Amino acid sequence: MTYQVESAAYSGPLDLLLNLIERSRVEITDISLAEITSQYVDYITKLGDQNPVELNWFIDLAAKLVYLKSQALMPTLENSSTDDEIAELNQQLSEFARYREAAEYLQSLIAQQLSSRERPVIHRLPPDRLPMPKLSLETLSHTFANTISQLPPEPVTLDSTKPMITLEQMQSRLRQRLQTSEDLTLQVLLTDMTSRAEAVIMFLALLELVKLNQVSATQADQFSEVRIVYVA
Amino acid sequence: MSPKLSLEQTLEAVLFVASEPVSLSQLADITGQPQSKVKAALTALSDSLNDHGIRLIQHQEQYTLVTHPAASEQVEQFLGSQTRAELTKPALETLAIIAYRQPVTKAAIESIRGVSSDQTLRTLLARGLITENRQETETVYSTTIRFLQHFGLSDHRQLPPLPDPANHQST
Repeated sequence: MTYQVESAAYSGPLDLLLNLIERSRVEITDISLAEITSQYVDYITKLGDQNPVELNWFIDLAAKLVYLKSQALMPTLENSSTDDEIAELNQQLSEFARYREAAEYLQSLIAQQLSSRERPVIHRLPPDRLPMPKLSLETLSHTFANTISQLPPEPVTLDSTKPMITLEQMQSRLRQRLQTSEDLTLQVLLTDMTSRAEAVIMFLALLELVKLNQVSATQADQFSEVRIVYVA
Repeated sequence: MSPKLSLEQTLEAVLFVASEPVSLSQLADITGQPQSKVKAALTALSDSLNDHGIRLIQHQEQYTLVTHPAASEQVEQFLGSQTRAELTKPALETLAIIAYRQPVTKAAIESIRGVSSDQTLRTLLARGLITENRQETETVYSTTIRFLQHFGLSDHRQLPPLPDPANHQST
């Protein structure tokens, strides 16, 4: 009986031997030894480029098998120690088989992809960046209100780099706006402006238009809306 | 002003911010409670997390909160983690021996496997699945809490018993 030994990676000499035995469906006895040994030796002769340290272990077991085989084949040389050594090898194989099965169980766990993650490392803030322990929400809001009330009024700065609309441009823009829509108020016109400076220009332009009698501005009573109507 | 928390709740809070396993002795120090009490509270915490997406796992009196293994797919996707490198057959075999025989020497591992195990031990150490402990005359190997995480176990006792030394040859 011959076996095609695939180049399957055996984890070691015991794994190889166990596989050969399982395929032959035999037990290691003095009768089956001859067959198993030749298959085993066949396999390791093909392991030429194996890592030499590992190969050493394979050869070690091969030597043992060959020795046991020679003992079994020559009954005249037979002594009781052969049986003991075969029993020992069987024992070693069966012990190895238990762990090989345990390894297969671990492999099945990996296949299920059931791993657990810990929290990723949090980069701790340096202590001086942490809020003061005595700081309460009340203190914080009080301090905030206090600070706001003491702030100087927002300084008016004119950004000279920004292109500014001219009074004339604003006048024509206002005329267009007033001609196309009725019911405009000063408030509405002001909220359309994008900056404080632009609002000022709009207001000056509006005053100019009122002066030219092109626009009328009326207010029903104090603090009510100023209605702006195009007249010309 | 702050509500009084149970020992179990306090431990949960501490473990929540810990990104590494915390030892039983450290937890006892922080809470000012005897280790026996802390251990009982940790068991209660572990039970109360049964229907949650996180679990408390422990190995050699080290505790850590981890994600539930059943959420692995989504968690890995969220973290954008690379698929983990496979473990080779020799590495798994070595790991199995360490898991069941720990602490175990290299000589004992090699005697069971019948082959040198330096390379696989180095791989497993690099992956953080085992740890080596140098004692006076020899170095022994044990599994780590990361081993449990990797295989989705919450306790070493969840490993099934080692298969029986059945007669494998005649099957």
